Amino acid sequence: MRKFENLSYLPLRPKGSTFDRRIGPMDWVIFAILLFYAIIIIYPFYNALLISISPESVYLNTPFLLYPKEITWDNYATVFSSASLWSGVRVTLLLLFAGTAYQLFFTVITGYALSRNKWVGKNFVMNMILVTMFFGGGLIPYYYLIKNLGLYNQIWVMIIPGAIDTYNMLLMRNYFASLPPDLEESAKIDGANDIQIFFKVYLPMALPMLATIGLFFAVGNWNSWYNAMLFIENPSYKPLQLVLREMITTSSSSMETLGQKVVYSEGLTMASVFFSIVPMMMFYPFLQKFFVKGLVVGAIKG
Amino acid sequence: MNKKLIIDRNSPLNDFGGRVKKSRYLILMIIPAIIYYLVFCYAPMYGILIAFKRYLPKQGIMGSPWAEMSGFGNFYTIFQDPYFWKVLRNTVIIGVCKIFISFIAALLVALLINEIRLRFFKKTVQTIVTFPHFLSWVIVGGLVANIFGTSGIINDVIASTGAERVQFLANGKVFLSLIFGSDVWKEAGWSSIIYLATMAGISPELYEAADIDGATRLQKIWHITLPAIKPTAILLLILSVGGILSAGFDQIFNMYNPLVYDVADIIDTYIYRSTFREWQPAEIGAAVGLFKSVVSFILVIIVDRIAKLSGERGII
Amino acid sequence: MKKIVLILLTLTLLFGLFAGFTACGPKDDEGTITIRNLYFNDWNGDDAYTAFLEEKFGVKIKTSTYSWADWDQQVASAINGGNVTDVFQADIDSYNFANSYRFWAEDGDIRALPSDLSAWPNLKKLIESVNDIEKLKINGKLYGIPVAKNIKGGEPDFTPFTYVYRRDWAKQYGVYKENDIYTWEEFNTLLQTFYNKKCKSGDFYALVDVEWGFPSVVNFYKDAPHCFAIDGSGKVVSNYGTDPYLSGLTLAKSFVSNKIYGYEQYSSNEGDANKKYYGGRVGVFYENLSLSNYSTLRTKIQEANRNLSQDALDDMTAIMKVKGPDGKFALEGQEDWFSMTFFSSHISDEKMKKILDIMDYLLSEEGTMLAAYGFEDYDYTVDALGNVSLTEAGWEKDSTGRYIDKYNGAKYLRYMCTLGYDMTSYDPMTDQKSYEILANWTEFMKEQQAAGNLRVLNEDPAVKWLNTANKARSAGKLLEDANAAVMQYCYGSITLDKYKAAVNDSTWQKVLKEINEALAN
Repeated sequence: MRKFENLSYLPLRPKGSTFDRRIGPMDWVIFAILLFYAIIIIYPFYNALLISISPESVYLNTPFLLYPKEITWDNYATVFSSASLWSGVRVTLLLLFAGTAYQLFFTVITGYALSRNKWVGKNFVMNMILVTMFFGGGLIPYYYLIKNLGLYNQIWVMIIPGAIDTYNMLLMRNYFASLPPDLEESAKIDGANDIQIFFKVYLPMALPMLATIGLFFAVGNWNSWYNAMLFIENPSYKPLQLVLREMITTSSSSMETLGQKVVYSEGLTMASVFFSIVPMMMFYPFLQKFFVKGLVVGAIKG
Repeated sequence: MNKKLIIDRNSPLNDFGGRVKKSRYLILMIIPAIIYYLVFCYAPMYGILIAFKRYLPKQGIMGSPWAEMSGFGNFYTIFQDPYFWKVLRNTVIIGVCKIFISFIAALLVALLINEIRLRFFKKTVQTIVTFPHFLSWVIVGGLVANIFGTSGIINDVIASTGAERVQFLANGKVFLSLIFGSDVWKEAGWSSIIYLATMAGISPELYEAADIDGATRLQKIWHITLPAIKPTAILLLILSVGGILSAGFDQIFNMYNPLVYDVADIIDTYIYRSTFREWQPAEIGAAVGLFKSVVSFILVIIVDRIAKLSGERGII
Repeated sequence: MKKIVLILLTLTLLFGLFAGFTACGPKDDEGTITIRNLYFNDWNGDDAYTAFLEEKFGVKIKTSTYSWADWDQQVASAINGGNVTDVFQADIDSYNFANSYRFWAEDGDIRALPSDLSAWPNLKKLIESVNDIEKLKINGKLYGIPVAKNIKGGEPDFTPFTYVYRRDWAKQYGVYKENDIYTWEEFNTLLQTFYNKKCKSGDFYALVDVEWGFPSVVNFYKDAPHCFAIDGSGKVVSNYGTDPYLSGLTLAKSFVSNKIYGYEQYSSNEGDANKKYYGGRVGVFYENLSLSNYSTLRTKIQEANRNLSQDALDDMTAIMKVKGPDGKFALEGQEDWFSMTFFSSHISDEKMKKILDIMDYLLSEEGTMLAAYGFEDYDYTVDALGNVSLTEAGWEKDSTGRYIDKYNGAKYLRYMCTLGYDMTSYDPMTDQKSYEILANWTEFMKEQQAAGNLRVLNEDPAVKWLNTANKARSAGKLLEDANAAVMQYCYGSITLDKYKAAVNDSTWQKVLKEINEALAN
């Protein structure tokens, strides 16, 4: 916390108002800190971008570039014409839309139900859920379960087992619990039942949190590969990240192999990385809008 | 003492049916969750037994014979290994430091971003700082090695001054700072989202009222922003305590090397190596897993009690 | 606390409920053979050649691949979860051999080959060509096919775990020796010259070993390839603690401190060392120069330096022949195989027979032709003298004039028995120039071996295949930990005393004692 306390010694405007548009010295300090932070974050991406648009000959001789010496789009052409990457994209899009909606629905209703006071068995259910955060049977029985549910080598194995994420469910529950309870009372007096109250009163108020958690799920689905790695054999069911993972490790492995193995170049790997993260980066600012909307809703109702 | 004759109308057992009826819609909403947890979390839990067995795949989990020492042989094997205690110590050190460093970093990033006035800059920074989260540790590990390696950019700068190149990745202390630093680099922006979302929910009226009272910026952060995100922060902190013994397998696995095993080898990497590189039997991994679960659970209960004693809402 | 007790009670109830899950076995579909293999890469089994084999043998073949990154987890979880495919493959070597293969065989997860293989003569011949095949048998039965690397019969059967170097630099600095043959002193001079001329001034390295190969210079000193060496009195000791090993290690450490090994050999990223060589920043590079690795290396160097003449390329990728301090060439241990194909214990006798039929066919002359070239008269033609020529309809070429791989199912399915090392000389996918260089090198080394000038570091078969409880359990760990200790000692993070203790600790003592006792009996 030292860094934080130090801020108190910095010159502050005595009457800084949140709605005051004047820029003071403090703003410049914050601006500088964040700018520096942003540059540290961007540089490796910039370097990766340079690698992806440099020909192999330039990269191998000078891995550290400050500016592109020579530009080639070959790597991107290869990525965009790669059947396995597109097949990965198709699978991942399914996970992204179907999976996120599915997870959001179950996680939110569970979080809401657990945020309401006093209902029969609530504490028991809550504890039952919490225990699963720490205790699990491990991989072997899980493998048997997947196999016996008939999910092995099925696309659904990447969606169905992830219905509720306990961590996000607890965040949701906490958020619902922090909303004013008198709204519930007044809705009850109007004769609404719990499900109606949830959909009409609380869900609209929870939009910022819903957006955040939806974002977490979407990113989780976009990045998921572990279940697929264990349970998917069919190459056309492999999600993008698994395809990419295999590509990256193949590019660097020097294992004993035969002529058939494709050794991907660093440039191609980086191009594929961009291919997989750019959609997420573009998607994220749109979700940010929801935060602002949520703020407005909160301001009116709160 | 004729208690039997007194009907206690408030006793939970008394009006059970009535209460169920009253909360029937909420119960309806929780039923999918109950089914989910029973099938996907509780059904496989009998697998814990593997930790007490000599696992033979053909015999299945129930059919496999019990481990020696009435089932506790696997634990004896682990606890007897001096190296286990070393990796346990490493794990706790890395896990604890990571929790605090990343917690403070995320909070700081959220506060700084929340203080930006320029909307455009705010949105841009907020977007940029979340980018690294989308990268996998395979890539970030490669980046770190490229930047801090002997032919990395840092060493290029050192060499250009005429000094000798330094082997950063061979030094345990430097390596640990790289672990923490890269974790902050990758996750601080992302973790700050949850705080920013909570901050977005704070009523602007509170700030306006504070402005009228002549509060400084820092006072507003201290008296309005921080208290508003406190429940979320505490919840996250309690939950992350459960992850101390995990300490980030993916990150360390992709970054470490034999020269820093001494400080950087953690339980999960050790178990991974022994299970998949050395093909050790599955029950050893299961026993360590169970050990981790029990310890994490106890830790969370303790932290939760502390939080409750200091007047916060816990999770249990 | 009450809550927790309640939850635990519920748990116990559920145990019983779901324990039955383990009882179900996989359904066996007679008409379909499922095969999972690491070397199938992105071949998906959907081609005319596979269809031809399916029709010929009246089965359906369903293939899938393990992934390079995670094959160990995929194999382990499939075995533990009782869900392996009919035929599967895993990279098993002598160090995880006892702990996996033997364990699976004894547990009954994998099926033994029929003891009489005379119905499958080609397969029988292949299996019998593997050295020490008897040692792989458990109770007289063989539980898998070692995927042979060095099949006798005309093809180069040495694996060049050796140095590739920049002959152009050597010539430039006047340290080049004819035919790339260097004595130990000349080798050291060359490294020192490279360091003085090149490395001092920039981001260059005199000597780099591939990640798993460090420290390669010890190969010229040590007596045994891996963990176990035999001392003067015939006792098995820790190889890492023997005097020859320690003198090699001292040299390796001095190379590290003198910056001859300038590159961080402990770097955790596989492939970094290769990239440094491709980028022209390494003078001498130790690598497994198998045909594919060597031709990849040459391709990469060509990519990195446009308009490179053939001679210049050869100069940049010359293979070095180094004589050790004892005046002899040295080669690290040679495994005949490093991978095994297994059969699930679930499959029926008929299915087993069909699989073996397919394997035997693919190993026959007809099958090998199918695997190498494709269909006769479509993909290739044979003239009256027996010369094969490829047709344009069957084989496409890329812009550089190399043939494009055509996903020939027969070739991939043949990987179940051999990884194609027995057909490299005529496989159209082989890079002929690389092949020629490696074949010459092999020829040279064979001559040296015949003349007694080559020291091949092989583990004593009696020790290598000895299967005792502690050795089976700990051999892999000993190897892994000892290599870490070597690294730590060379880079100065532990002292010599600590190193000696690490490679002779209680686990070592236990295993060595066990081995010596077993050998005495």
